[in-house]
Amino acid sequence: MRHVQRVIKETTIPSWLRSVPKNFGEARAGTLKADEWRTLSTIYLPLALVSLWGEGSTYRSHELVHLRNILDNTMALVSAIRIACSRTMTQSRIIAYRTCITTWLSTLPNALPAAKPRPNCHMACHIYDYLKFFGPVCSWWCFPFERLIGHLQRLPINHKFGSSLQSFTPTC
Amino acid sequence: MSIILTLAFKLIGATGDTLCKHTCAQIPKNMRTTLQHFNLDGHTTTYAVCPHCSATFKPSGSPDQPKYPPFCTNRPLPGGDLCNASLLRDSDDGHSVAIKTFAYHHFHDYVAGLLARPGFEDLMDKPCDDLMQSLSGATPSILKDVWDAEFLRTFEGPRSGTLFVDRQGEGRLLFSVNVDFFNIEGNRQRNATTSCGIISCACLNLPPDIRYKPENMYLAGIIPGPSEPSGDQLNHFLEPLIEDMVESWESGVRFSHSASQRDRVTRSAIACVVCDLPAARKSAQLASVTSHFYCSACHCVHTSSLGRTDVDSKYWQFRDKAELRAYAFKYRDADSVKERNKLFCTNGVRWSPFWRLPYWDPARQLVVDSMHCLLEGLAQAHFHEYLGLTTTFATKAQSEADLRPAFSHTFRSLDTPEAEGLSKNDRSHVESIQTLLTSAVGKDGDLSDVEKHTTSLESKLMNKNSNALKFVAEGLQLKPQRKDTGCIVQVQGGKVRKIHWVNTLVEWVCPSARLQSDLTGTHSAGLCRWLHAPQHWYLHPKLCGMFSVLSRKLPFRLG
Repeated sequence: MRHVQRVIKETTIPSWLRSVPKNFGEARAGTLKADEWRTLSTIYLPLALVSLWGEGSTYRSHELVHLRNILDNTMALVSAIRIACSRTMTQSRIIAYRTCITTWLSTLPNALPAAKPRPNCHMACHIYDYLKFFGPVCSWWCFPFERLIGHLQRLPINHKFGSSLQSFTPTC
Repeated sequence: MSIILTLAFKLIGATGDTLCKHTCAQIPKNMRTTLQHFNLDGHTTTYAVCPHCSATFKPSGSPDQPKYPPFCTNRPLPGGDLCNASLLRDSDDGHSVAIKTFAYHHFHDYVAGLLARPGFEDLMDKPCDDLMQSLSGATPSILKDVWDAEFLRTFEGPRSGTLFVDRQGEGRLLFSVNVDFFNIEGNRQRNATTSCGIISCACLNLPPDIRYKPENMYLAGIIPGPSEPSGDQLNHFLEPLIEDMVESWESGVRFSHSASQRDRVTRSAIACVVCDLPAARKSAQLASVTSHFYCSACHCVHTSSLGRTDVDSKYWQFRDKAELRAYAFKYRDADSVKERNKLFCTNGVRWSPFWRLPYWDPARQLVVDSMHCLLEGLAQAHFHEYLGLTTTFATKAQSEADLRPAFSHTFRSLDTPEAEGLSKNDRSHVESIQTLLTSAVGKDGDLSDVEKHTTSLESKLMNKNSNALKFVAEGLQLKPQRKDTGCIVQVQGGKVRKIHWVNTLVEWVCPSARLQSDLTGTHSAGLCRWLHAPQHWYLHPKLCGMFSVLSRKLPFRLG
């Protein structure tokens, strides 16, 4: 955990990348936003975990095999997220996405037996189909809509239900 | 302004008097009337919402003083009674006003607003024309936007046999719809948990850089709280939007003016519905994600098969839209609650207004939102829960590791005849003494930790009964010892005190002589011997470190 936090603190990142909470993992860091998860899971966590469990790890050999499994499993998910979030889509990327996400899901019980599959795991496999139908995710993900909600939440309200709703609509 | 005008008219003379009055009367006095004159406000209809069953009622009469029916006339359950809940309350000024309202911003009004902006028409027609031109060629290898992808290249328009993007002189608009629920007071810990809904759309015809600007997005309405509409109550709120969409699809909407031409006809369609999983199921009225029918797209059922990855098998085929449509209509037309429930249990489909759209295909158009699913769903689950990368997990793992004994030793059992003289209290003390003796040293394995450990061990043991201490020590075949100017010597004669037994036991765990030798670093050949004498493992700082690692079940939960 300390290692992960150190990686977050010490990695040099380009300025256009949004920062993530330095106290990642603590309750004080709050609920992470989707964008923070994207940065974490594609940049910081792979750096931290590979340096921890990958080549030159300080763990003993019999643990290393197990940890290597977990690392490979994690990296499959990381690759899937990376591919899915890219701004342009090609046929080969769509197929690569499916390979990554199914690899992750099929090796999950082996690497982390305690992990129970969730509906999201199954639905993530279907993202392959929607990538095919609708192209890159930027045109069909929730970020812009969530931002609209953010705008609404910041509007001053009188904490009374009903009276303010009418006034929202014309402004947009 | 009016003063200047009056003076100007005075100059013209008496003939301009009536004209002057007339002109002055038209000058707006405040901001509100000014805006009204420019007709900038959106056209909204404020529906009255039944507080019980969420049915919506259109107002009658003038928009300034809307009239609603006094009681709810909705029949929430087939074959059941009317809801009959009161819709109105008396306001402070004596009028009766609706208790709960839902303001719907007219869809056609929004489209008219888009068309009225100069340059927007061309922008919105361009992707359709581009797509029509590229249809003859192969699918582009690099997909940059939704217009390059498969769905729109095959999406059939209102006239069968022609594509939707085949404009035929009309405007063809595609929208992505979003339904989401949020806490209007902000997500703070101590806030009341209220949940409002939002129905919004983005026009996919606009280029991506301006598509999601707040002024270009369409906010159909805000579903009033304080709690989410349950079951098929959400349908009432979606109904007005779908009504407009159906009209726009079937007959097209004629706008008398747009920015560049007169008589502009547009047809609009919903290309995709983008929501997080719970809202998606709610708006499409399909069974929830945690139910037997967890997937809205394919035939995979039963929660035990959530982890399956045989993506090429027949279960992963898309559900047929005609079949789903038939189920939905059956559900709507069912006569009794019992029959509806039965249909829902077997098919996992309720009636949703989306089925009024002839092209609605939930398997394809109800997309899985990658932001919620991958980033907030899987990434969070994998790193926070599966891998346990949180401080709470790490400290928990650490404290578990601390509690776990550093080594095992078979102490004298309490079943032996020597234990007969011990009281119940003594017996429980014996057990806790044994745990204390095998407990691990601090996690870093520093030598100072070992010293700290011995002192705390000593004070903890002093709190135990001397009978219990004696029993444990004798079980280890130890003789009472005492500290004498830093050295440990056997107690010869005299009364044996509790402190002597404590000293004996601490000495058994950490022999002070060995501690000394370790401090000076003269333990060269020690490792093998320690393996035979497990109680001395503590003393070696490296071994201590190894212990804290070994004793964790999942070693990656780092402190």
